[in-house]
Amino acid sequence: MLGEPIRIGNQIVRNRIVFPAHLTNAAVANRPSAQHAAYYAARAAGGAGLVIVEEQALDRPYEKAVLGTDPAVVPGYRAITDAVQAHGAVVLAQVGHNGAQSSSLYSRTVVEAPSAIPDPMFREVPVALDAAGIARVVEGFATVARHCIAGGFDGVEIQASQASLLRQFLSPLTNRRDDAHADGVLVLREVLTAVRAEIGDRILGVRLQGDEGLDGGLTAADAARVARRVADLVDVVNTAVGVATATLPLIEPPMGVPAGYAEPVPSAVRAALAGTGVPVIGVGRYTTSEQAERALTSGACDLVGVVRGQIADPAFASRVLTGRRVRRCIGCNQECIAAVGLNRRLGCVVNPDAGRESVPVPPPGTRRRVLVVGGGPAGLAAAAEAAERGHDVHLVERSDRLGGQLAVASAAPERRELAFAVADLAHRCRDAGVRMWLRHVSTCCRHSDHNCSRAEHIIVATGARPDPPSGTIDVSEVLTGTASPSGRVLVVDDLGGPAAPSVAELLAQRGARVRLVTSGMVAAEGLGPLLERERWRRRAAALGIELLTDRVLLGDGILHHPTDTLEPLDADAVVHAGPRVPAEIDLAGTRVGDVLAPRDAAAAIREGTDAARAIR
Amino acid sequence: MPVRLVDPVRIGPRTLPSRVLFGPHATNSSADRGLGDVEHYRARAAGGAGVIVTEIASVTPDDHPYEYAPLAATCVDGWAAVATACASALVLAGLGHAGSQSAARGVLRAPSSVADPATRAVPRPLSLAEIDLVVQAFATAARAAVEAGCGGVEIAAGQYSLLRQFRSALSTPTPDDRVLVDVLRAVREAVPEAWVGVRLCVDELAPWAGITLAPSLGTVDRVADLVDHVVPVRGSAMSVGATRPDAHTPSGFMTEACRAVRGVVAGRCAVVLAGSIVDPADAQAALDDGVADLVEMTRAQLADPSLVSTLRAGRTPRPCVLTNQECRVRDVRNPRIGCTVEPGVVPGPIVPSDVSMAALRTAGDDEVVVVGAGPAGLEAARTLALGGRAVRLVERDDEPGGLLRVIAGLPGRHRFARLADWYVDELARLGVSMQLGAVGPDRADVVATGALDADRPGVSVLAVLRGTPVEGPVVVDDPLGDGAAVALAEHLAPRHAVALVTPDQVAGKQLADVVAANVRLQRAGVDRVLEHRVVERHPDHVVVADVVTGHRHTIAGMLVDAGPRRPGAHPSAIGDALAPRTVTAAVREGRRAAEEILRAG
Repeated sequence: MLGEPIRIGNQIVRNRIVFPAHLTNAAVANRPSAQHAAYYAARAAGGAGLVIVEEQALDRPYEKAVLGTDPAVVPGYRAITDAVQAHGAVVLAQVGHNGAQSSSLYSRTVVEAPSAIPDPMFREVPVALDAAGIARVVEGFATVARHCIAGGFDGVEIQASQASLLRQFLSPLTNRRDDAHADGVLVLREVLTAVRAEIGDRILGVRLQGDEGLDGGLTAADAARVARRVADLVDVVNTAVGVATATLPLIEPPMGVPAGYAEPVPSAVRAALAGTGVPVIGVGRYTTSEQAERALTSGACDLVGVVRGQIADPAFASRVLTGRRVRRCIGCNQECIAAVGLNRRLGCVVNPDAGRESVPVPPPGTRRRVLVVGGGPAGLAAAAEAAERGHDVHLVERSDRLGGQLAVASAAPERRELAFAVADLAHRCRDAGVRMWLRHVSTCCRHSDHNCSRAEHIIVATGARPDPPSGTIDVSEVLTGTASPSGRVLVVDDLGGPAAPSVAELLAQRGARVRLVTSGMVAAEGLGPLLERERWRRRAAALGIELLTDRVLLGDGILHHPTDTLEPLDADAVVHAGPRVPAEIDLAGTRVGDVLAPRDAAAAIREGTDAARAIR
Repeated sequence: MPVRLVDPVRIGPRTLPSRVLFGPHATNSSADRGLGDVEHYRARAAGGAGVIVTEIASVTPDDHPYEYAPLAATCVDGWAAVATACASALVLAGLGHAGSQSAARGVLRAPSSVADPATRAVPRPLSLAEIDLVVQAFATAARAAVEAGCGGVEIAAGQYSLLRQFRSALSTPTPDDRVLVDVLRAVREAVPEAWVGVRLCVDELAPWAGITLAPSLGTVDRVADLVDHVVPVRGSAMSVGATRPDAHTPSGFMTEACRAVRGVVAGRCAVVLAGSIVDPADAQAALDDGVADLVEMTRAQLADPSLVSTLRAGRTPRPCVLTNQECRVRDVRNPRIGCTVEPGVVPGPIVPSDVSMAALRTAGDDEVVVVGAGPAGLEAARTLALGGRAVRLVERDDEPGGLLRVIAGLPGRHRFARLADWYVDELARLGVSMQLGAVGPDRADVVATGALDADRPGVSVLAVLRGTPVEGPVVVDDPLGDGAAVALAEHLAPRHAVALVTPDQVAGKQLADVVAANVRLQRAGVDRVLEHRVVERHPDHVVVADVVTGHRHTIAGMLVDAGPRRPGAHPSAIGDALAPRTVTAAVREGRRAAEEILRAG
């Protein structure tokens, strides 16, 4: 069913796979860039039926917003639409106004909203729009839509979902007006009517909020009700859950949240639209063909939105439709969500090309004999990429398993999907003919046919080793099972990432009385940007894990540094998560990943890939 | 002959127009790693600055400390433009390498593999050959800057610098100042005739391992013959906020270190006093006292670009309030540099500065009535008067200043009273007629009447500051994290048990000094109830719930509400009357409203 074409408005979309709108931070000077065109074109080339380009904003909510009201955006739009349409996909632009979900940081002017209620995250008291202000907003939507059409888009999608003035009009939590616009559908209809007048018979979609995740907020029933009231104006209805500035983890849930978690929303909307002929798009962490297919066959929706799955594998659609293996999104949220939240360009841990599609990849050079030392993510990525580029590749790995620290980390609670990344890299190596030598090190290779002296190019990816303070156990020892502390365990987090919280949880599950202590101001801080922290905090609370901040180990005690108070250690064992030390070997070659400087899997995979591409 | 801050001074072969230095600072005004807005520097030179140091440019492309950090190789045009625009002043190109204190993706380079305490990123140690390349890069960049027309360079060895990291046991097991000396020697050789300054950390505030003053004096002695000035500064990666702290730290914290440095230097180079010097009287006192030859007044010149010429004219410059809220822009969101009190800090399309305001001077002769003498109304009145209009400022209270006077009662915010006083003096000087204790003016051209208290249970922060009695334990409900609640908690802590309830993971999330604020609260014994929300309000207690788990508990005490206030209704109003926000927004809208009236004529 995923492969069946479907009519949307005046277009036939070639299949049911949608690449929905999401932020990329690829704008340059608040205009679309060559990177935008390359990024969306890659997903169209990969088979997506419908591509919805990120929000073209009426306001200035974040630094790298594309300001759709500026006529100067049109040439950039044209570059995007030419590139996407060349690959047979239908392309829409999302148009939005963020209302109170915005700040004066960039606009240096007041934010506007239905009522003077500050947003939970931005917290600026907005000005309640008056009639003239609402007319200005409606006209703004029409202006941006006009630019989109001038730029060649097949239509537009009006955002009334995650970060939207229109959602704020629809939600009882943010609309406290006592005029006609107390009915939020009114302004939505005004916007849709004005936009329809601009775009003629091109596609007009609307994205509706179906679960704000807030007490008294919008629900699936509200989305269904609103959909019925605008069905006469639109060609397609997209759905969403979560408010970007209040319940973001609902929008982009981390690994551990099952696919289809948001299905009640498209189901309700589709039921409400029965007989109208308006198709419905469902979203919700669909990362495999089975999950996406089931969403259609179960009747939840007519099209399936897959964002992160297509970031991880731009050819997701064509691979799914032809039964080939996809490179799986692991839901780590590190480069696509956390990085974007930190105002950086979108990337992907498992797809090192995501976010740099516009950077040309050098053509493969002469076939070389390549030795890769180390089978962690950096080494696997280097070996896979080199072999796919036609080189003769041998990979030696000291241990009896591939994946390095990524494989070790996948033993932690709710981190199982990290192992998918290892498996997908290993599949690539196998498919491309990499010869892999487990339980081998580079110095013992002189008797076998991957003799170092015969390698023309060596890539050293030997990773890093733990360096715990004396008397403490490194987190990796707990994850690999070489240490199993019990009783009163103190887990010291000198990293701030997922390692210490994960191990604290694992030990608590095994019955230890765990305290997690950090020198920073916030416990499990690194889980926040990954949108894992709330889920982890709930589990940690259920397990009775105690969270301590602003503290460092000092001798036999714990120092609370703001007050200079020394507290007793009071622990049977101390587990430590801290900076690792490069595992250097005496072998010349290109160094990639943790052996260069201990960092994360994204850096490892990116550097391994780049090193393979640099082989001449 | 007395040494005067604002008088020209001859140092070596050069004559500087004054003894005031505009120090290097991030502006986030440059795309493509260029130098950024030339107008930012032009305004300070026109205002009489003696020395202008441009934003620190990285000497090697691998160093990328923040997204809009300039890079020496792409600053040549910018340096040339600034040198031309600021011909009256000595223009020095800030040059540096941030080492492990960088936000760069990829691999950080540093003296050793010690992780940065802020980002926790582990750098890759520089090899000896790579260190040589860094040294040469400083020399190359210095040559380029001087060829572009700069009078010289200032080498960054203070906060955010590789050259400090090489000297500190916080960042390397083998600290010494050889790399610094090598850099200064190479730069001196590269630009023998130019001015070479160094911004040198002399105290990392971490005596167990960091740089301390006594050995730093040895470093000063070793470099004094190589340089034309030294600016002693303090702070490490563990204490970034201590280098340019806000008003919680009294000004003059570098005075004794500077005096000691000047003693060691013994006339071999100039010594610059830095460290929150924002009041001209403090700067003059330091000169009188022989502490320094020049004084860095960076933030004072953000608040008043014409600091020196204002002083020369016998007037008081617009006072910096030392909140750091708008000018500390090393933030992932890349805010462009601003100023709490001067909306036109970067003259440009958004808001004009005083200078361009005067150009708008119109002949309109109707009196303009401004209602409300808080920051928005005061700024509007002053701008209108500068534009040549007759202005009547009408205020309901008996004293002008609005909330500026009230918030000045909070710790770290005392300088807002100075701002209010400055406005009052300025309005008197400009002949604005002030009607105090007045209600219901006949007409209003500018409405700046402020916000209303929210209709929620509990006493408001402002009510407490205005004298509502507080007894027993206090629970401050802070859904905003904007600093008012934090300051009130600190204010009450000496006499009351205080609990501060916030939905955030830290108190005062939106504060520029969030780290220091949380330390102060803990030292003051304030119970920070983090990641909680008040869900029930009672006369003598509240019930709070964990924002994640929903778990509830009760806290006894009188409720103080630090939530948002209500707008004052008028749709064409400015400042808090339009939407209750910050002093920054109020001043900006006061300037804008006045500008619109002046343009309309």
